[in-house]
Amino acid sequence: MASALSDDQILALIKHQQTRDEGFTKLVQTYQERIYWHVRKFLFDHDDANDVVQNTFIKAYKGLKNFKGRSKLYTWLFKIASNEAITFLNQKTRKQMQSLDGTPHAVVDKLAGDPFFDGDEIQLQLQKAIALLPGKQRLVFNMRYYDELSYKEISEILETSTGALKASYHHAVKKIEQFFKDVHT
Amino acid sequence: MKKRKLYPEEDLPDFLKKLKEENPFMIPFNYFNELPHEIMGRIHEEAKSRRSEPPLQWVKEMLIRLSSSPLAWITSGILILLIAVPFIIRKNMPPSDDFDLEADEIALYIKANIDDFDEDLFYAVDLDQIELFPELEMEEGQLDQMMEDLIQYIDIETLAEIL
Repeated sequence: MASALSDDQILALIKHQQTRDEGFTKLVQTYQERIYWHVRKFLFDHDDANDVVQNTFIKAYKGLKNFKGRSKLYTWLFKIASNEAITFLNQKTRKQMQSLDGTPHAVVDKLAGDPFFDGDEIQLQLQKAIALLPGKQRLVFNMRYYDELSYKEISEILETSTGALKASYHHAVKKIEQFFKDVHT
Repeated sequence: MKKRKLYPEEDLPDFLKKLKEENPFMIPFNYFNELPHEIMGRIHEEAKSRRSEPPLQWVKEMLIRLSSSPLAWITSGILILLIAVPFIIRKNMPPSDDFDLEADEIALYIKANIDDFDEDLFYAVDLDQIELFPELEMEEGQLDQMMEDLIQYIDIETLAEIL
């Protein structure tokens, strides 16, 4: 288990050439789980999430010289991960739309046979309802519902006003509620 | 009266509150222990391949970028045309006989280069090989008539002066 270091300690290690790799490994160890679950619950599939998480940290490594420390490290990492995840989703949807594999229903049907998914029927319905949300609304819902970020933090990550985020989350919850009502009537 | 929140943060229905507690997603064994090594491995590999990139790699990268943007292709096409068209036009034009040289310039050139004239080369030319007068097909008497016409134009005084 990696010993917990503060952001400042991690950045101090990264700053020096000799300890850069050690510092960055600490950064990955500190934030990998939060970033992974954020991406995984957005994309559903482990392999897709793994690709996006690796790309996120590689981009972070390359962009660390531009990190000014105005935001927290995890907010900055969430921003990179969210952009990567949205880009990945758009590319995958474009590729798969022709074979209908990219539709939300197809994504969740695939999830039912996924060896890395252990949910019951109601969990599958929830994932399907989430998959039906538009990309950015899905991000807002997940950040609030699963990642439990504050609206202020989500606002920093997505560069959207907190008012708009609250409205987006509220509508997402209503859509999911309606989906369950439709399924069970 | 208490002001009603437009979008209360705790307006989750009960079933969503309950489902939130479960995580139906699983990960491969040892995933989070291996992930940092995989990421660092990829970073080192990329750095290594960047160091050993051939110098013309930027051309490939530029072509890849161009292929993803139709606008970039159009801009590049226009630029290439702007550069190439004047060359093509110049190449396809017939050589011009107009040198736009003034008589003074020609005289100056001759004066400056007269010493370079190779007299030996001049005398070495076999005059028999040069067709000074093209063959003319004339009927008998036609040449005599032509000479008579020419004689009429000759100014005797000028001829005397030359001789």
